[in-house]
Amino acid sequence: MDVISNLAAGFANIFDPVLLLMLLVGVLVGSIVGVLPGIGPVGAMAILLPISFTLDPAAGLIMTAGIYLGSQYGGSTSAILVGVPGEASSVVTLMDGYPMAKKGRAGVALGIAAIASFVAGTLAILLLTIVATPLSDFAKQFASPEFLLISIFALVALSRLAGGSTVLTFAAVGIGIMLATVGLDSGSGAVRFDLGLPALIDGIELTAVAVGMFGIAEILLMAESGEDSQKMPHVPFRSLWPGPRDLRRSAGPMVRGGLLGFFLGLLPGPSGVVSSYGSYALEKKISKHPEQFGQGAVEGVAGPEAANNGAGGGAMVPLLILGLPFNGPTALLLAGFTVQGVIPGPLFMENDPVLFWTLIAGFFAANVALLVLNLPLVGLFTSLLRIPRDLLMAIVILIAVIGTFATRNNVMDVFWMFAMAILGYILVKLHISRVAVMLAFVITPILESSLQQTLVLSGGNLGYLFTRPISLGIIIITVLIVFAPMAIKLLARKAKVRNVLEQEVDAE
Amino acid sequence: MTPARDTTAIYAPQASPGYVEWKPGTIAGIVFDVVTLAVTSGYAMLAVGLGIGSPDDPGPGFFPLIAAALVILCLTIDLVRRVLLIAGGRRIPGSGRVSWQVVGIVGAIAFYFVTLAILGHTLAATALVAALLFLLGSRRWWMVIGIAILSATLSDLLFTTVLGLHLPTGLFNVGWSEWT
Repeated sequence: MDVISNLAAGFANIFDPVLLLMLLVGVLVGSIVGVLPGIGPVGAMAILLPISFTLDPAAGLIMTAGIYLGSQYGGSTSAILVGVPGEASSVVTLMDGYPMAKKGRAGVALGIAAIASFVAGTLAILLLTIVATPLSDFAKQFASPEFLLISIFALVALSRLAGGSTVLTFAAVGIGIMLATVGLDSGSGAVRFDLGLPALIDGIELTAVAVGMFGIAEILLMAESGEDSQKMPHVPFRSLWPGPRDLRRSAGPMVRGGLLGFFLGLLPGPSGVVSSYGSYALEKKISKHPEQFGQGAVEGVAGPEAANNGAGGGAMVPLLILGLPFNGPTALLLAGFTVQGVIPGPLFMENDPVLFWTLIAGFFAANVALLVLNLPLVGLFTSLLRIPRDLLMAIVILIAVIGTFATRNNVMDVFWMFAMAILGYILVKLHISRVAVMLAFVITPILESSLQQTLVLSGGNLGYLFTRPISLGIIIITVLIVFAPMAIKLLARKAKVRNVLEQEVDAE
Repeated sequence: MTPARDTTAIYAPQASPGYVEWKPGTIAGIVFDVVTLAVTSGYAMLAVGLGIGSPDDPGPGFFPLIAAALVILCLTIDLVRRVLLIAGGRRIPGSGRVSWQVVGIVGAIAFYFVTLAILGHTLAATALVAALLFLLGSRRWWMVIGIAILSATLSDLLFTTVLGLHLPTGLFNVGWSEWT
């Protein structure tokens, strides 16, 4: 039982006072920023990530994980209390959480959301622990061709699942790659696209891209709306604990949502959003009282919240085991890893087992911290939502610019943040995926190096990829992802036509 | 029911009366496509100049050229699609304009990074926060200045003293850290 002893060692490490403190700070700060409507987990992580760079690797990564989990939970608080989703996947929580709040059951909704997040997070970590070793052993068979194809799979899958125009999403991927190629190429040593400017030799920093495109761009969109700060109910602490009936009704959705979320989190794309919608649809379908959904059904909060957190845990698997981020938040986590000099991937567990298992234990501890901290502090979070809009936006922008500058002590990064904010604003207006740009930006170093190595290995003959079983498997899955939605639409249309014809025959 | 997508803002309520929200139409999309195609074409030419190498020994310009080709292909398809919309009389008209608050925020951030080295963080941040509060709120001027000075000073203190980072103090040496 090597896994258990490693996990136990990880937990022992977590009880270091500094690590615990950083964990609590990350969870708290992430929750606070996550509560603020419009910022979202990616924006929150982007703005706060530079702070973690000043810490040692374990503390910095655990703080980043705390920010990630905290910001996901924080989004549901504003969704329930004021009907404003703090982030995209909280939209589903709002559908029943806000009606519950309007009926005076805000405390129950918040309590169920917190418990569901905890249950799903714990389940996800358990599953991660179980699959980590066998998956890591399997991933050790991966060479550059497999990394090339899985990177392409991630981008293609994202393009199909992100919504909007597939053509424009692929264009966004290309734009992300172009941005990532500016500066020094580590492979050849050549400086690319610097336009003769020394400031461009260092390339574009991920923090600037993330903060600009998600943090500041959201502020620009909020500024257009002119909405004032919200009125919200007072939620006494004693009302936060759900009754036995609510807990009984929520138990099944929590487990189902957690499992669904975990497995969807293994796939590229907006897994948090997709899994929360999937869980809602599932619970409504199997419920004995589907008419209650949308009116304040507790299952409508428990399932999606669990799914959202489960997806967060599932998304850790490709990041930690393959070293590849499959969505926006894990792309930023990868940035955090890189700055701390930690390389996730198939050899992570082998080369640095102490850090690996400390991180796993840290995720679980962050889950516990979320439950323990966020319920008593819901009063603090609701008071944050009362902050005047102008002050809120000014402070968030200030923190964003300082954090971006502080990453490399380089004013050029603030310029890039500014440029990416404008680009992000335009992309939203034109319905072009920002996550595609950012994911491509993050994946580009892996994609380029594995492409070059594959070409050298194969002598320029890409047919070589079809001779490798794992590569062939990834190619087949990628092709299915591309054509499956079209095939499903075609089948659905044929079924509809057949139904119409049958009805006409019956009528005759 | 469609999932919320990152192609829209995470929170995008209807614009309040008095605020103008820009909704781009087909022409704006064409402008975006044309500008991006122009930039990408320049990028592609620079990539070729870096050296493409050969398929079994790619040069530094090889991968960027593939990225450029992807963008050019996709945006050309999109451009043709939009032009066909106009030709078919199905042009989607744009509405509104970019809000002056948006322009103001962008301008304030630009002012910050242009003046950071000269004024230092504390002064530049004071100007940034003051500009933002004037643009976005309706407070009295002395309250705006007070909040701006306080937030700039506290942010400087937090990031330098607590987090151990260096922020520029500028030509006037205003701030908590030394900048060389």
